[in-house]
Amino acid sequence: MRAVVVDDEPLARERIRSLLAGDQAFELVAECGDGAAALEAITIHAPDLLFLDVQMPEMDGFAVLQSLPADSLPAIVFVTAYDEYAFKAFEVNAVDYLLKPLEPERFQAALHRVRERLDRRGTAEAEPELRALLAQLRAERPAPVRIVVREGERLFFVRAEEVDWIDAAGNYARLHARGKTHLVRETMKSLETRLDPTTFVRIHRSVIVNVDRIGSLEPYFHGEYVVTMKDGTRFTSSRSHSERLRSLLR
Amino acid sequence: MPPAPPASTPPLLRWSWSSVLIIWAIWTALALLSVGGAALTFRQIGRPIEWRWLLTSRLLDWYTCALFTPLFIWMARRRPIERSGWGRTVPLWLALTSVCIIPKYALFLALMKLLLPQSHMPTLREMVSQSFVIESMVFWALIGVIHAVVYYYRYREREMEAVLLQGQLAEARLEALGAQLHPHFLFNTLQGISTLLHRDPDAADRMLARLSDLLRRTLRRAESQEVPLGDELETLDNYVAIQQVRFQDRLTVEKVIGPGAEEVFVPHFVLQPLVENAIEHGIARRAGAGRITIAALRNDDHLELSVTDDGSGLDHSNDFPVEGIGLGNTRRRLAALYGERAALTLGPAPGGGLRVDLVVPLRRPG
Repeated sequence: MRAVVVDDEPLARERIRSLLAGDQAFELVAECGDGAAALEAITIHAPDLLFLDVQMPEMDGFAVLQSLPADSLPAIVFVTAYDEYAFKAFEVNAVDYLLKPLEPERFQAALHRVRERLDRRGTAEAEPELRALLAQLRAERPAPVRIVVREGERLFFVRAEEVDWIDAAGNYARLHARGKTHLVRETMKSLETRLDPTTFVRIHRSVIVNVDRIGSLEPYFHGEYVVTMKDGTRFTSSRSHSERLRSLLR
Repeated sequence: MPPAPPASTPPLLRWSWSSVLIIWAIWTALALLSVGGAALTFRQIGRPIEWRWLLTSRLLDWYTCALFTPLFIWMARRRPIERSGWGRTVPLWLALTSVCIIPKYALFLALMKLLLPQSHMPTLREMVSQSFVIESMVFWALIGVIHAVVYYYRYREREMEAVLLQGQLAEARLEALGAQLHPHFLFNTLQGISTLLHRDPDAADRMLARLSDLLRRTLRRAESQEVPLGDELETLDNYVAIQQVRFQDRLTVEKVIGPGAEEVFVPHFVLQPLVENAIEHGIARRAGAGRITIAALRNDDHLELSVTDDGSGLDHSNDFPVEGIGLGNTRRRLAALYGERAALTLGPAPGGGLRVDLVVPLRRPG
């Protein structure tokens, strides 16, 4: 099983590395010193386990979590020195976390729990407790969402506010941002949970639009709408997804 | 000796209806006492008491004296008699009281003539030469009382200031302690030690010793407001060394200490909050490497201290207060210790980042 360590303090990474070395089941595939590097490493390595420091400069652990595809989250063990908000959030959502300095016994216990959970689920299905934490974070501590795009060997970020609209293409989603199209391996459902619901509205099973880029909205048949984006692209909203659009018009 | 700091005027000596009323009441009491005294004397020598004359003359005598109170208060504020320069101020006051006696009696005689036209009054010249000594004594008693009030008030103000300074020192100590016990700093340092224990026990020992030394220096009761800059720099070295182990190659700290600067006395715990801010702004809030420069330069009459980081400067600082609690307290302490001779300024550093400049006047601890 592949593991990634994310912590801005080199000595903390070193400690996790040495503790993890004692367990044959896990292979440490990447060490990251900040949130942006973590997103890249997670996209490249698709790890099974992530050790995530909560307090980091610029992009903290929670922002990393909010920028990860919600439908293929690895098992996450949070690591924190001290953060009252984090304590509470972890306790409420029963998420695994470790306190610094790390205690070998507690570390092993956390690994044990992770292994059990990974064996049990087999498929890449996010843990309900992580989903609950995500929902809480999105409500209480919204972070700027970055979507990692992989093009060949190249990786880069698209910030959510740059996205005009998104449509589905099989198992992929197409991000339309600044006149360019980027393919990301993530479902519409996952993107919908990650993106700020006040800005991004799903108007169809296969379409999410950025409300700020809507040019006009015309009522169509059966409570549907014709949505014209500022770049001229037109969509027809589906009846089941029109409720949100209607609420925008009020 | 530098001029005494301009002490504020005691409330009693400030122009207000209540203080006018109080001072008038005191003068009236004195006048009535002298009426009583004169009445007793008349009775003893068996002369009839002319109440109308007695009351009018006594009250007028004292009230015409009282009229000079504002002038003397005003003068006491501008030219107080102090240990330094009394050779100039005392003759000045003597001249003032001597001159004032003339208008005092001119007014007294005029009012007496107006109110008691039938009574016989001496001439102004006779009056002044008769009463010069006793009148001077009254004036000097008044001057003495005014000075006593001013000195008492100043003494109380100084005492309050000392208490305030003590409080600010305690606050600075608590802040330094708070920075070291800052959970993020403390637990990450302990995590670092825990890591080093396995790889490099000697390095772990060193870091543990540094943390202990840092805590000990801060916990130790600070008796003095000021310590030599050298002591402050030693405490700081421990703090910086720990931070450098934590951040490794991300943190570079450069010290530029001019000749003689280490002996200059600076407020206790003045440096750490500044360096802590610099690390927070320059390193901890961004992902790259950062450099902090601490410079001290001794001049003829002051020490220039500066802490510079190369972080993002003031532009991106809207989300956290630059003028944190640490700087606010530092500013108040500098003002209390050195008045306007000290300064704390915050500005952009050349090439981005933030620069804090501190000017401390040279002086031995008092």
